[in-house]
Amino acid sequence: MTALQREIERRGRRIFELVDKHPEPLFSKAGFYQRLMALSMRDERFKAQLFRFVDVLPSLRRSSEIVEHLDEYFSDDGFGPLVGVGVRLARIVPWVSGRILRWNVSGMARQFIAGRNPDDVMATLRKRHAQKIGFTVDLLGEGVVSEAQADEYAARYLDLLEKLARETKGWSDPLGKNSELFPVVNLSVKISALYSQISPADPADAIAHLAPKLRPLLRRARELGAFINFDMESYAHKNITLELFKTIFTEEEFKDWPHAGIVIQAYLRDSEADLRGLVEWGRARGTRFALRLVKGAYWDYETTKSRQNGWDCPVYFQKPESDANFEALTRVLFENESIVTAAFGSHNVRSIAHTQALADELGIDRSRFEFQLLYGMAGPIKRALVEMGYRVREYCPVGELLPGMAYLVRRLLENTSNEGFLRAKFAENLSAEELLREPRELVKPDGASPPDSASVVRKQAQPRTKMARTKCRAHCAKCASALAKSIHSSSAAKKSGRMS
Amino acid sequence: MNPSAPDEIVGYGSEAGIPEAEHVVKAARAAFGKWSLTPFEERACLLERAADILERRRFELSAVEVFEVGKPWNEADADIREAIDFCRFYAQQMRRLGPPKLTQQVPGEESYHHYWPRGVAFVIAPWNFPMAILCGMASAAVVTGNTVIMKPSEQSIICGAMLMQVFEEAGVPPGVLNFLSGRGSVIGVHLVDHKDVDLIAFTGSREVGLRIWQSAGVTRPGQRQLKHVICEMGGKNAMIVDADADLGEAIGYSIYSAFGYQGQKCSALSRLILLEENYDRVMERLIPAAASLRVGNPEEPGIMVGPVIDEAAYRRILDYIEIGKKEATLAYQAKEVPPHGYFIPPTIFTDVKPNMRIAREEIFGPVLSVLKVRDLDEALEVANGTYYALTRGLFSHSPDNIERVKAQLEAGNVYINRSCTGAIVGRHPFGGFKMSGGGTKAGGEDYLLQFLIPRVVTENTSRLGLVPEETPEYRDEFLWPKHQ
Repeated sequence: MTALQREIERRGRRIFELVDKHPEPLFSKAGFYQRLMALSMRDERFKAQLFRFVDVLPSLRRSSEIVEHLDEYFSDDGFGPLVGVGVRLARIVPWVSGRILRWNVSGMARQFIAGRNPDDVMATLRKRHAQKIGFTVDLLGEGVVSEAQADEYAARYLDLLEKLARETKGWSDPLGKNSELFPVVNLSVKISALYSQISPADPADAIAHLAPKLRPLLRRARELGAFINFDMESYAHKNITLELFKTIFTEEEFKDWPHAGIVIQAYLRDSEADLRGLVEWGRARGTRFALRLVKGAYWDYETTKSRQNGWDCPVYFQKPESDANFEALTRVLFENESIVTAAFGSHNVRSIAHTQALADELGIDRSRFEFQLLYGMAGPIKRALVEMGYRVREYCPVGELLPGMAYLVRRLLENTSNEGFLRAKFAENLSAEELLREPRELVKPDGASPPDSASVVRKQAQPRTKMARTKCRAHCAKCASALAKSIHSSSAAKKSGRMS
Repeated sequence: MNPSAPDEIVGYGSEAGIPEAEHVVKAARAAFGKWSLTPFEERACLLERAADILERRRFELSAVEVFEVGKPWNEADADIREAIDFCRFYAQQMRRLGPPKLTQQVPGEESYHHYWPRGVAFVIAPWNFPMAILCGMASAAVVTGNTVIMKPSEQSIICGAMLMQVFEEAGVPPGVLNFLSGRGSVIGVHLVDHKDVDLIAFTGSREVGLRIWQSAGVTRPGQRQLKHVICEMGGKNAMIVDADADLGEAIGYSIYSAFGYQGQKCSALSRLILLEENYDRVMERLIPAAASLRVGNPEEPGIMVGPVIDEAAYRRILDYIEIGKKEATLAYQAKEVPPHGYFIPPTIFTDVKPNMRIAREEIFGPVLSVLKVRDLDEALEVANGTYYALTRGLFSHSPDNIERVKAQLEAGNVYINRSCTGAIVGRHPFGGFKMSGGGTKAGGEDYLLQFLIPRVVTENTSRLGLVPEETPEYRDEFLWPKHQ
């Protein structure tokens, strides 16, 4: 066993000890939610139906509608007596059961959503501040289909920023060391919320529209001493987000501002190249920037989407591959600590322990990076990290129930996933040794791709050109511009009468 | 001519007249004997070679579409992809249909069912999918052993000529595939009526389709057989938005289906049917979503709404918008479109009733009618209440409503919780019924049968009660031993 692995195990066990010292259920709200999750973990079909139901619930307005849908989703006898009885009961008093259901599911969502609005969220943030946990706030919203909506979003971000700055005046850094790297006010921004016409084929257009919307927010953040992070979403937006980040923070006005961050998703095969590209860019720019390393939350979406289109899958198929890549990228981040401030977004104790052990090995002080965990999840782990003297920040989504559902479903998927860490630890009680194993060892050599991979689809139909890829776009652009040139010149020639 | 900049010439095409048409029919007729006796395997390989060439030249060809017919990048790319798929899919289908198949196992007798080509096929294609549809119809006709006269639309001659080039490079023998550009009213009419044309494959407007259907029914002196007509015509496509639909998704897909490629797809959405209950909620987001669309020259990547095809289309669509203004309420019209080129501002009408012209007639442009209904029953009635039956769909998260609508929507292609455009060969065989077409399915397993005549050959194999032990399920093709 290597020294690093020994250290990881030592750290991991320490975290588990601290976690077990404060026994707390995996999910802060017991009861209804606990039971549903337990059921979901046992029965994949029930899980699928449940998540679909959760997804549709906010758009149902009448109690009778809720009960009708409940009936349609769960009336199948295969779901066992418990569910069956529930459905039958609901039919008897639809008014009451509709409300109860909505209340329960709202409760589920509230567990992951830190507040309905900026006022609401402050109570949560204050509580966490007292526990020495920082925050980054994210605004949840409906899918942005128009510029009117996008403008509204931009205004909400600005309001939120003002509010957070006002309300946190006088808050001090929990570690009191290297605090200049970690402003108290931290806002996470989604670019898909700020422009409705993003086309992977046209990054230049997206950047031209996004930059003017972001500049006022960045300017204000700088004045207020706040931090802005560009979140990552699906692969289709990844390159645009990276390019936007580099473009805007190379501008004269923001070139020397260190409080901007971006995300790298370790489940992406591109992630190492992207990270190295960012580091190189940062060195040329000459100012620190921040980077949140995560595993990535759109695995199901990316896999389905690429299979459907016959594209090569942008994500690793096996969970341990992503975990191993997370560790490799952690090393890249620490090796470039002089230019990039790292945040590690994971609930996986092995990944966390690895980060700690590697930081020690490379001589990086624990006050120079931070761990970021999601609101409503893995509370005991956060507490353990604080106790060990690490910097912890919570990712706090704010918003109404309706737009919060997609977020909720992503969290539910994560919590019930067969391969999820929290499930393994808290629901299946795997041993510490098992949970702290080196992820490389867990990668199955023959599990490189699922049986139904993109190649099957590709044989049936020619895939669309993946415009999100720079290379594909370049091919198109080359042909278009060559043709444009010949057309323009021959048309011009004709106009001046030189054409035969 | 470039519809985004009408003073730009993309290329020059020649206009064939009657003498050229006559010449081409003779060439096709002359080549038929040999081509019909070419083994199907060879014909399938020809298509696959064409597919490989299309794949190689994919970016170059899609660039041509951007300039000749004003296709946005993504759409042009999809058109070439579809052309490739047609070639490969029909090659594969021909291999399936090619070998004569034993009908039943009976001692002492063998009966083989197989297919013969029909003869000379006349393919008339539209400009809106200038490679895919032309290639689909022509490759189906060629692979089944017919010889073909291929007439691209007058608005997309360059794309048609490039497709011809691809097939020549793939090694199509002389006379088997003949390119003929010219006016539908001259050579189109002449060839539809021609005694030596055995099959007409048409995709285009209902008006022209019905005329072809009628003329093809008239027997001309010297005609050998009944003409077979494949007609794929327009649509007046509808989407229903249920009370529980995910509105972000419903609006996103509806906007794309209605305004993608300026609404110039036969599958494009032209009627959005909203339940009273969520009418206001949808409209509140639909109009700003339409207002956010990027209208412009598709030379720029990422543009979703470009110009309409030509001046005639431009005028016709503007006329419909005027009719709409009289009949219904103009709820939205884009203010700014590029001043030159045939750009029509995306337009939305509300207070549309099913009997209005804008709710019944195919406009083939970026014009969307919104109809308000009481409930799902009325929604179905309105959705089904036109002459057409091409694409229709529903946005809903109610399993029961989805089941019901799946069963009851009158349309060749029914789409649930997705856009109603963008059919993929083999996966979504495409084509409608009622006045949208004769029920044929491009990219479907039964499509090639339209180009073939079924034939059965039966032999009594018993001699004095002695019979061969077993009859194989398939046998070799019925080919002449030597080419004539």
